[in-house]
Amino acid sequence: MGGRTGLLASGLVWGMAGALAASAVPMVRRWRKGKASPKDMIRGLATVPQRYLVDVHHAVERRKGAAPMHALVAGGTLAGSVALAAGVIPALRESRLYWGGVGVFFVTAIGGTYLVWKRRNPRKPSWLSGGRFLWLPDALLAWNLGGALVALVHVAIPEKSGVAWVPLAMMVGGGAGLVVQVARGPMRHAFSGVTWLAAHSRPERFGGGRSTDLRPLDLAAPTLGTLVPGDFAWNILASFDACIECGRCEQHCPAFAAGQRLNPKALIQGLALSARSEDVSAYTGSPAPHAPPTAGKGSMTSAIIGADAMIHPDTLWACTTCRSCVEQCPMMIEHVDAIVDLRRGQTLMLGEVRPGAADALRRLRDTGESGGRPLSARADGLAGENVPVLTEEDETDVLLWLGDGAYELRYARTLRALVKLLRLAGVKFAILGEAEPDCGDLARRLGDEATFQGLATEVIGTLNSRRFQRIVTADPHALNVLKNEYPALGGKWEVVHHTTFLDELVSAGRLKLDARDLPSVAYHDPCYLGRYNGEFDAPRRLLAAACKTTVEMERHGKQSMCCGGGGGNPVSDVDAELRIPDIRMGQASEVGAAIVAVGCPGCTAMLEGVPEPRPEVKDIAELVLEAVVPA
Amino acid sequence: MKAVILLSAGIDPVSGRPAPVPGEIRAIGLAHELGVTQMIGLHAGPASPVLTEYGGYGLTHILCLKGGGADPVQALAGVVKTHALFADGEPDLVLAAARGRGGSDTGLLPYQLAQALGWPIATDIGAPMEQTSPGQLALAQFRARGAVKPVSVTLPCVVTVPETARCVPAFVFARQRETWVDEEVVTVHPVSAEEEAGTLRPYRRRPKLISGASKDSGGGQLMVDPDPHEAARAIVAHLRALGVLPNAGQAPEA
Repeated sequence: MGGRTGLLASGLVWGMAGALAASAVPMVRRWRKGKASPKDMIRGLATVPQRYLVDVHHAVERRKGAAPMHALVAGGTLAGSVALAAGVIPALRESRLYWGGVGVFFVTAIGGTYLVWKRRNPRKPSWLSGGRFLWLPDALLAWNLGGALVALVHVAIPEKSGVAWVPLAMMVGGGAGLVVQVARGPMRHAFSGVTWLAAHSRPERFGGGRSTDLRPLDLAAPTLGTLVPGDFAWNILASFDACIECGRCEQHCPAFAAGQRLNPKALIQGLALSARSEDVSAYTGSPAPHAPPTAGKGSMTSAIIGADAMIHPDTLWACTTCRSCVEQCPMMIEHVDAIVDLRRGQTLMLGEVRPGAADALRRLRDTGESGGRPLSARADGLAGENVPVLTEEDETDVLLWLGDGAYELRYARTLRALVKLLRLAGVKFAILGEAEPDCGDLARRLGDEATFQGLATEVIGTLNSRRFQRIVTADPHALNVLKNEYPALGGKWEVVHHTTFLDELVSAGRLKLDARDLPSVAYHDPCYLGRYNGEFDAPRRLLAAACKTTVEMERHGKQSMCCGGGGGNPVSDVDAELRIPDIRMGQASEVGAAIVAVGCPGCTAMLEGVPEPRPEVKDIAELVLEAVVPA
Repeated sequence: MKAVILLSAGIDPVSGRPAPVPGEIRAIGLAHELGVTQMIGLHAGPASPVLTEYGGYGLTHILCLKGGGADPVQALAGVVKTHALFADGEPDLVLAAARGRGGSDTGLLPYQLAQALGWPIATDIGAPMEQTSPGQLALAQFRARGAVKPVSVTLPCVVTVPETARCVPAFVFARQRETWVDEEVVTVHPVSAEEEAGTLRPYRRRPKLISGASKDSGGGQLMVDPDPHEAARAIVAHLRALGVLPNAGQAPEA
């Protein structure tokens, strides 16, 4: 005799499932106000378990204790509830074994609930949010403890199951709380997260893949980029609702660390609040540092950016597009895509860019060079090397793309080292000379897709009229644009970074290195080489072959910290408390590095701009040249 | 107010690529700051793609006078005077860059156009000033070494804008793609050889302001709250001492 309480408990779970399903309806209706983006949801949902258990888990487990907490609380609550729901079958309710199983699941969930509570107690860490999160453990405890006690009653005293009314009442309270948490609180991430994982905008990222290229914009579309939440695709709106405010993005954001007016978590929450027409006061995490206050209001059809809207414009321009937040996000949210979409709206539709960026964009439009410098002067730093210029009639093996760093005397030193190495290895190479304009990276990151596409068309036309085997560049930003972003516009070549190419030459025995006894060298991963292009090993192999002592900074590889030079940040007059490169060089000094090895003109300029005493900054090409021995 | 902005076929001096002229971009910005409500761009010559870029700065209607390149002054003056550029009357203002960036632009065009229209010209205007009387424009003239001089000019007038003006309007691609470039064929009377050669007149000695100033003229005199007539006499005497004005009794030059 299972008694009525057992059946009621099962019915309660079914009722709760119904309430949760109903709470999803307004959410789905809201997402459908976004732009259409057809997704095969059946196939998408079929991939969710794998995406969740592999990709999401990899990100979750990087924070100590997060994975066990989530497994216990989500696994226990779900398993207990599903098992309890099965209690509508009378035969099951008769079985003590069944109730024992239900009890074990709920007890497991209570353990998880304790871990949930422990996250914010005794003190809430700055990167976590408060608000509804603060009573989430109470609701979980009421539901799970209630469930466990109902099970206990049915195991221990099935004949007196009427006693279970008391825990049943607890479950009703906890269940109501959980429904509120899902419908209007952070637990909405359970439903929106699954939807987003199924309908992700970059499915290539799952299973250890990579997808970092910005997508071309149709310049004839009525609205360019994003001005109101309704301009985002529906699945992107779902991704904002999927944010669980864990603050990993905030902890890793270089702009946030430097006190610039950006907090990726506050940004995503601002977007979600705008789409939900909620007030900014509903956000209980840390704000973007020093960002001037905004009206903090929004709706699906009103502007997102502006002092009278939700997000202050300064927030947008502080981003270095380093993708650190994207890398850390356990919900795989695409912060950088959102920022670039918003920048596109500001730049293309309103012309609202920072004055320094406006000047740079004007020069790019009018002269094809961000500094307005003559294209013929780009190779001035290589004048002594006598590098041949590739004409339409000639042919070469390697086309060396110089990039805008070449105008600087410092970076020209790196390029000279690279040219000397290519000569030593007997590589046939040439440059484009004054036929090389800007590749458009800066314009694209600043949201000026029109200027980017103009420059890209010019570059693609030039490169398609030249004969070469592959392109080598020492500028990871140019590498990213040429290799990943031009193919969508009709430019496909083999493009490699100079460290990859030098590594090949060393492995093939065309360059012989003798590791030198230098003070310890730390390699700084450029964002656009590492996170954007997955090249972590070749530079390290080269360094190991050229220097005897190497050390790793705490943040390296995929977790590396940006130098502050990307995304148009340096031309955007960003207000800051600290300089990002100062923080980064501090990290190098902490591990006792005397030399920081770099592989990017941006990193070179930013890190070398740090006042002394600081480690010396050397490009890998320079270190390799110093270690090369005659064959 | 209604304004005509003169556009030239500019070339960027560094890259040699067609590009909008800085003074003309600022002319659009100055027109906005002056509260101009209707604006049209005028280019003596055939339409070219680079002109749409001015649309990005806010000049979304541009009229090109094909065939007007042979004598731009005649073509432009004809259109400004007789053409119904605006539905509700003649323009109040013609704005131009103080300096063009086309290969053979002389910088004289705004002066010649003002002469042809019979309008006054205010040159090197970098910003508007507080407007006090209707029918007049109070403007800030940007001079060498950062000096700013208030000037007033009667409407309608020609105004030139220097590259040093700060009124650069934001560039908006969405406006550029909506820019409407019209082309109209105009016929201008060919310039006669005599006109081309310019006018001949006797040599006139230029006043030697600088060399006069270098001779110690005492640096003038300090007058506190003087009688206006007395002050005027002192100024005239000072200018005579510098050699800028002819000496008293001497007949002014023709």
